Amino acid sequence: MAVNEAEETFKRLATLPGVQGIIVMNNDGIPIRTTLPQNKTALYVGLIHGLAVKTKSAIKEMDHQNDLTFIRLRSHKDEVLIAPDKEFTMIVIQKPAIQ
Amino acid sequence: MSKPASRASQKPATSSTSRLSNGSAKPRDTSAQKPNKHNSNKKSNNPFDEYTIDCPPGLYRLFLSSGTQSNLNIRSDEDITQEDNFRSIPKQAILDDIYNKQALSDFSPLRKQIEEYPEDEITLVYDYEFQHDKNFYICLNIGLKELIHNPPIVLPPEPQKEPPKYQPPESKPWVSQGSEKEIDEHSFKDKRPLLKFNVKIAKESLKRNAHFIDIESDDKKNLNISIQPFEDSSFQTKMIETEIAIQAAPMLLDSSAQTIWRYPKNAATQSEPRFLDKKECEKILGQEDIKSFINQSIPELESALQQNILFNAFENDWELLGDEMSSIGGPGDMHLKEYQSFSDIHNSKNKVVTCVQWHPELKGIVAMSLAENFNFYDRMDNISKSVITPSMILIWSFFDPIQPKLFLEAPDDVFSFAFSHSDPNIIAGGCINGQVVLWDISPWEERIKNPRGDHRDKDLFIPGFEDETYFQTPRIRYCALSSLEHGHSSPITDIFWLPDHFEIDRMGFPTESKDHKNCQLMTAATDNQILFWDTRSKSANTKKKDSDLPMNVPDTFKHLGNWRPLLKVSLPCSDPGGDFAPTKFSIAEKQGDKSTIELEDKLEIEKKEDPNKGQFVAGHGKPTSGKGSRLLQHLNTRISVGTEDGQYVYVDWLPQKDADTSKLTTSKAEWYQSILDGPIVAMKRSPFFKDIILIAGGTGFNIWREKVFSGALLQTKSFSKRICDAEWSPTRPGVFFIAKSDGTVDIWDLLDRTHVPILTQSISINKLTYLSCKIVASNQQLIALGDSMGTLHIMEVPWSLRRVVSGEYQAVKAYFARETERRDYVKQRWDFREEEKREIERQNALKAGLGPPHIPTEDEITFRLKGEYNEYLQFEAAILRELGLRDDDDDQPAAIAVN
Repeated sequence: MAVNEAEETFKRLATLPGVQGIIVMNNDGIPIRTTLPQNKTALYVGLIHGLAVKTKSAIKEMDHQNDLTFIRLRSHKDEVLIAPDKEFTMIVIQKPAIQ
Repeated sequence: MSKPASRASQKPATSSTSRLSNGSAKPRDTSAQKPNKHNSNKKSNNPFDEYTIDCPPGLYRLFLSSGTQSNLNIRSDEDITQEDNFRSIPKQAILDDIYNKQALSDFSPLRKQIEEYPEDEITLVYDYEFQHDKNFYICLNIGLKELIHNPPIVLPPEPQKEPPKYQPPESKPWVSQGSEKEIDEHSFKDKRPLLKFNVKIAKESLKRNAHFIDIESDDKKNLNISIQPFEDSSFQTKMIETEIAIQAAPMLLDSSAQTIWRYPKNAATQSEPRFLDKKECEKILGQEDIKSFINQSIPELESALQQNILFNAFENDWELLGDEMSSIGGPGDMHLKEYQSFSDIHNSKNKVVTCVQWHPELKGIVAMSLAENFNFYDRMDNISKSVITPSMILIWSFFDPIQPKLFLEAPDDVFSFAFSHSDPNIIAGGCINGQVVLWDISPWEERIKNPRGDHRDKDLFIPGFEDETYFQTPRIRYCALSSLEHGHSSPITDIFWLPDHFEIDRMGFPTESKDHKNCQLMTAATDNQILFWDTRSKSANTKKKDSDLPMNVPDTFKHLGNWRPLLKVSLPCSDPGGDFAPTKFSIAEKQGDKSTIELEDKLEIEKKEDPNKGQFVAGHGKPTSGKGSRLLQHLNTRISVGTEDGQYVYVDWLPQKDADTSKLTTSKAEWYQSILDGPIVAMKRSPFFKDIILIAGGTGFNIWREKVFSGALLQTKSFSKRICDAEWSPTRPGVFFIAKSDGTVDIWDLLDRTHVPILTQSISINKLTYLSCKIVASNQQLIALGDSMGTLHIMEVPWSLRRVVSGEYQAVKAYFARETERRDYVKQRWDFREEEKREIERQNALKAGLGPPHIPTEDEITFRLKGEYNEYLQFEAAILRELGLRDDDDDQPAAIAVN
């Protein structure tokens, strides 16, 4: 079943060291699956949705044939990995093991 | 007059007697003694008084019997009533009555007066109120008689006149009073019509030939007159008084404003995140496209995640490189530089600095407390002198090293004090007599905020209006004082404001504090007690006591009144040597560190979360009790206390019910040990590790980990000099400072060497008494050191001791972890040695023939017991068979498996 496979892969991702949360949202900015509490999910989804859309349009404007595949956002405390797609976007927050 | 007034007003009030006495000449003193008059009546010299009580002269009271009344036709309530209460009786009738009845007549006592009465008719007045047992008055005074018959009319009170309505003046036609004649006389009028003239010069006279000649200008001929200018005195009079007319008229201004609203724009928007409910989510998840999406994106994500784990691509090599080089600084870099030194000429001589505190918010403000440098006997000798000179806390500003900014007066020498973190204008101090003192310096806040308010500000004042007290340092009296009986009975050695995120109640339970203010205090004194105090008023309605505070003292703490502690923690000890006398203490909670609250939050969330992750969690952080402030169950309520005898005591402040007395007392200390050879002078938690404590006292110091009771993580050998204070560095986890009694400061670095200090620096020739560090700016760190001659030294920490070395935190953490493991290992080895010792003893006992040959292990014992039981079962079966109670082929009792 598709759901079970999805679950399996989710759990595998979650067990990788440093992963703090995983969010799956659709392209309207509504979270579908998340491992974080609701307020944090809303925060991430709201902000990253805008960022993903803007980045995609920026890349498309620079070169029409180009397209966005992946965004990596590195900050002092953690890293946010964003994988956009036609209908959904997956967000993973990781705290890197090395300082 | 009084009597007619009583008739006219018709009030049956008892005050009519007093009205009678108004204006009376004779019985004025009797009216004053009216209540006593009945008693003194019997003893009075004049037996006639009963007839003249409360009467004006000429009026007498009488009792007339009903017979007399009917004879004279003045029967009470029939002929004569309350309203119509006087009658003129012919004198003869009365005299007849007297003659007929002689002594029995009612009128007999007044016989003489009646006979002397000039007129023919006597007035009798009925007293409806029956005062003084007499129901009639007889009037034997002509003046009074007139008044009775013709009472002055009491006019009814005038009706309240309404204030006259304002009527605007009406215009009337003008009536001439003769003024127009005067005006006519003075005005100018034409008396005749104006005449018109037309003047022309005849043309012939114009036609004349002019004939000019020359003349010399000689004075002799007087052909010309020169007119010189001269001052005309008529123009010299000054007009001092002139009459002018002025009229004030309001200025009328027109004004208008118009905003330009170029385009409408939203000033604020509010949005809400959208969420889908569970069923929708599951429907979407079940679709095919999500499966393909996940399969596509997962590999990329995984590789990214794994890359991060393996290698930190964003490391800044340049920065990391620089750190290694700079640690090889020469000794010159490592000196504590003298920044400033404070000493007050008048107040600091021969006094010991007992405590130094930095102002939590303002830069450059430091406070120090002074005490007399006496031991007990000297103090007793000089007690009269020390009562006069007040004990003070001085507040210094860095800009003025000569004159302190503020003096805080205390009732006695202050041994420790602390600023409140939430409101730095409140300072709590502990005195040598065991009292807790509170100051509120908010009225003088300007003085310390404004750095240069001193003699340089002379031009602030207008000459002649100078405020001399501005240039003198104000002395501020304390606001509140704790009760002597209920507080401490010996010097308070340590005082601490409870952090603002929690507060305790009477039972000692910590609850989350919602208003985030430092409102509770902990104090320790050598009378074996640690007390908790609350600075808020207990009841909502505070008693309005007359403020007996002197002027100039703010009344922030007036509600405290006779201030009692909230909770007492006593430190009993069953060992000989007496109870523990605390000198310093430390609790796990720190101001500004809200980790216990966050932990509570997290645990609540975890409780409410469903077991499988991935579900939404709602409603976290709600308090468990409905009231709003929740009990913090995970707060560590234990205090680490250092005592006067060099012991380290770990005790819980929550009172337990004592089994014997069923009273709430502090339970016995969880753990204690004697660790140093002198009183503990410092007990400081590391700012980086919550449970590492630096304990200093006597001639050495230890580092302990809270709850690891087997031993210290680090113990030093005894130094030659006693230690007076110790403090961790606020920025470097492994560095701390020790102040010693020979005026030197030792700087220790745990990562460098742990057996000697890395630097020893002499600060003062006198004993150093207190040490406090503060980060003033990002590139400046200062240490305040007080010494025993009243001087406060401020030293600057050099860059090498202030800057964090890379990886220092990890290294120090690892060091402490290693040491903790070492303690565990030591404990294990002890246990092992104990076991060994017991073995050896047993062997010895065996050899001596006393002990048992072989101590069976538990398994062996079980084996043996099972075997015995099985034997017993078989034995029982055999006996029963013999007795015939059991047949042979009955099933055997199950034998217990023995393995």
